[in-house]
Formats: sequence, structure tokens, C-alpha cells
Amino acid sequence: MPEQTPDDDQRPTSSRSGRRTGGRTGRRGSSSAAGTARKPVPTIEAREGAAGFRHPEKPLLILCGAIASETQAVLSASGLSDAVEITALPAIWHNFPERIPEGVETKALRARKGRADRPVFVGYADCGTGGMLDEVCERLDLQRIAGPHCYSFFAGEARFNALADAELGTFYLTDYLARHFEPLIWQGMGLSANPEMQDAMFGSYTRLVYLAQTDDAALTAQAEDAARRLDLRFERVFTGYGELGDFIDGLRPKASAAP
Amino acid sequence: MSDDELDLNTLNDDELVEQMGDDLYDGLKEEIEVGTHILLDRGWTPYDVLTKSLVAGMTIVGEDFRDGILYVPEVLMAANAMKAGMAILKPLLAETGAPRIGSMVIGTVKGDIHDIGKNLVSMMMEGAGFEVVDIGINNPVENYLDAIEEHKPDILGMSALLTTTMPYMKVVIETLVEKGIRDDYIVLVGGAPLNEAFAESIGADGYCRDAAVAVETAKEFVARRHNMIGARANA
Repeated sequence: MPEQTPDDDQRPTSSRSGRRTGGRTGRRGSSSAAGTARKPVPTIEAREGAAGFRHPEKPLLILCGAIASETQAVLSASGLSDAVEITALPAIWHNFPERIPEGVETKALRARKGRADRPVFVGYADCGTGGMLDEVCERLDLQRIAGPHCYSFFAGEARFNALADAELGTFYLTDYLARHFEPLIWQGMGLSANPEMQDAMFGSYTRLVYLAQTDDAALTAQAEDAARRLDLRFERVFTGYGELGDFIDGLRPKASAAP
Repeated sequence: MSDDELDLNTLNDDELVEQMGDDLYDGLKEEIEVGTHILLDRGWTPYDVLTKSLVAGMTIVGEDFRDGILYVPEVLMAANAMKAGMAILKPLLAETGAPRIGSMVIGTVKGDIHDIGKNLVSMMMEGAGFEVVDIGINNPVENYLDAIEEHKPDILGMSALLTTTMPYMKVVIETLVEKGIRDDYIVLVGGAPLNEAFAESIGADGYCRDAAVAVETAKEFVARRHNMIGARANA
């Protein structure tokens, strides 16, 4: 599975866009962003093809697109690449965590059509769902990565808490977020269109910590550039894959037991 | 003025209110200021300008933000535009004795520095006629206690963006219970990872999923409270 790009999921259009576009372009000649026709969002079925999942005999790992590369690296290092089928949800949901529980549930139910006992794992932490993902996991008997978010499971809970306690106003990047800072944060959070709002959005932050999963000078430079653009002090903390490795290790017995 | 610019004075009231809605949506601060002055010059009461134009416009902004159509900076731009209109209206509202619906102390909980949602709620609440005391970010329980002691609000509002900080709301509510003052306040909570079930589990009175809902919820609770006080007085 190739790494997901953040533009996998598009901004929906407003039901009011007709009036707004007419009003804005007709009267002022101003931009018509809210009413512009956008690329249709592919449905989960469209992404996976009519045949659905390809390896129903294997356990399924439903994961966040923002940790797909890291997960594949850990699976590969653990010799589990062929033992587990993986499928990703849009990385941009990092910005819209309320979509995650339903997305996971939809995939899990589809994966278990005709095979109710298929083991399904969830490559998310709580990730801002406020316990709603846990509700889905409990109801469908799914196991997710422990912890509140990817920063915590990459850094390890104790180290992440120490970082947060040391400086509350810390903005975090992972390898994925450093690589895709421009589309996911700068454009995805709307800063490119409204840079004057940067202070209102990042005024409470003082530093950017790049939690590095790999030693990659180019990525470090990108993360440092992100800090510069957000006007934050830069620090790099190497984490490796952290507790993601423990989670993947936990797939082993069930993966081995799969027919 | 270029050809594609519009003189807001040429619009009738309905067209102007609609245009101001569009301008608010686009975060056009100066246009909102001009529109506000025009409506006042035409004899609109400050309260009507506020509710029928600015608040109505911000409600649409809030809905489109909730639906993922607008991003945070765009909402902030809209809020800034509304603030500009509010700056004109606020002294007039005080002079004209516009209805004051209630009061609120609001702050982000300890360990959390996120304040965009809280700021939007503050602004929308002010716009709706509430007196708002914003105590900022990273508030330990003592800050909330001091603020409610000083300002005696109808509502205590708490905000959190992080799964790790939202449980602190329970600490604040439990402290209110311990001190025997829980029922003196309407406690409303909000923030991205929260939901109804969480609000109920910590003993809050209500969960507000966005700024527009916060205003409606606050109005409903305050009205209910006033009705109860009225009923007691008549008993």
C-alpha cells in the first residue's frame, strides 16, 4: 500500500454554495471557494474495489493513513507483512477526528461480511475521538493502539508526558506530518488562504517538537522549515516507532493462528 | 470604486442583511462595519442589527464549520468581522438597554492551551446578549472558583481540545459539589473530543458541540432557570 496523501479526502461543498457563489462572484468578484465544484470523494467501496478486501482469510488492520508507512516498516521488520491485510482511512482525518469512529466501524463490518470471526485491529489511538472510537472497538471487539494519540505512542507515554509537562505550548510533528506539512497543516488548516490568522491559531504555542521516526536529514529540514513558518522554536526528538512496535507484536499470535 | 465593487447604500434592508451575511462569511471586516452603520442610520435598533444580521450570519458560519466546509482560519476571519460590528454595537446596546440574557464565566481547562473554540463561543455568546468573562487557557480549578466567586455568573463554561485534558472538567465539577455550590451554576462543556455521554458522565448540565449550539443551549438553560425562580416566587 503506498503512503496516503492528505488530499485523499476533500472538503465538502456547502448546500448554500449556490447562493453564496452567486452573491460573492456576482456582486463583488471575490473568491468562490465555498461554492467551487470539487473532486468527488471516493467512497470506501470505490477505494477498495467491488470485490472488497482481498485477503479475508487474514486478520485485518484498519489504520490511519498518516501511519501507513511506519506500520508497513514495522510489519516488515517483524516478518508479518504477509500475515496481515492492511487498509487505511484518510490521513486528513487527523484534522477531523469525529469521522474516525464511523470510518473504522464501516470498514470493520465490511471486513467481517461472511466471516464474522475475522480478527480486526485498529491502527489508531484515541486520536481526539473522545472515547467514541473505544465505543466502536468495544462493541465490535476490535483492539486499538493504546494511548491518546500517535505522538504519545511514537514517543512512549512517559516521554510524551514529560515533553508536554515541560512546555504546554508545544506543537508536534511526526515524520508523516513533517513530510505533508504543506497540504495537511498549512493548506489543510486553511493557513495558506488566511495567513493573517496564524497568530490567532498558533499564538499559544511556543515550540515545535519533531518526533522523528527515522533519521532523515531532508525530513528534519522540512520540520525545521515548518517551525520557522509557524514562528516556533524547533526541537527534534528521535522516537523510532515506539509503542507502535509493541502493538504490531501483539498481532503475532492471532496472525499465526489465522488459517 | 471599481466596477465590481458594491455600494452597500444602494441595497434595500433585506438585500443588505443578506449581503452582510455573505461578507461575514468571507470575513470582510470593513464591509461589516459599513453595513452595521447603514442599518443603524436607517433606524434599526442595535439589538436587531446584532441578532438579525451578525448573529444570523455567524450561525451559518458555525454550521458550515461543523460540516467541514469552512476551516478554522476562515471562521476566525468571520469572527473578527463580527467583532468589528460588535465594537460598534456594544456601547449602543448598553445605552438602549438591550436585553441582557445572562452571564457566563468561560475558560479552557488546566493542561490545555487551545482557545479557538472557546473564543468563538465567547464572541457568539456576547453577540446573543450574554455578559461573558473569559478567563483564558490552562485554568486550574482555583481560577474557575475565583472567577465565579467574583462574577456570580449564571453559567460556567469549560472547554478542552485534548482527550488527556477533558477529564479535568470532572475535577472542577466535583470541587463545586464538594463546596456545595454545584447547583448555583449551569455548567456547560464543549470541545472537539467531547460528546453528550461524556458531559453527562462528569455531571455537566449540557454539552455544546459548537458555538451556535452553545448559545442555544445557554439560552434554554437560563430561560428554564428563570422560569423556576419565577415559579418559586409565585408559589
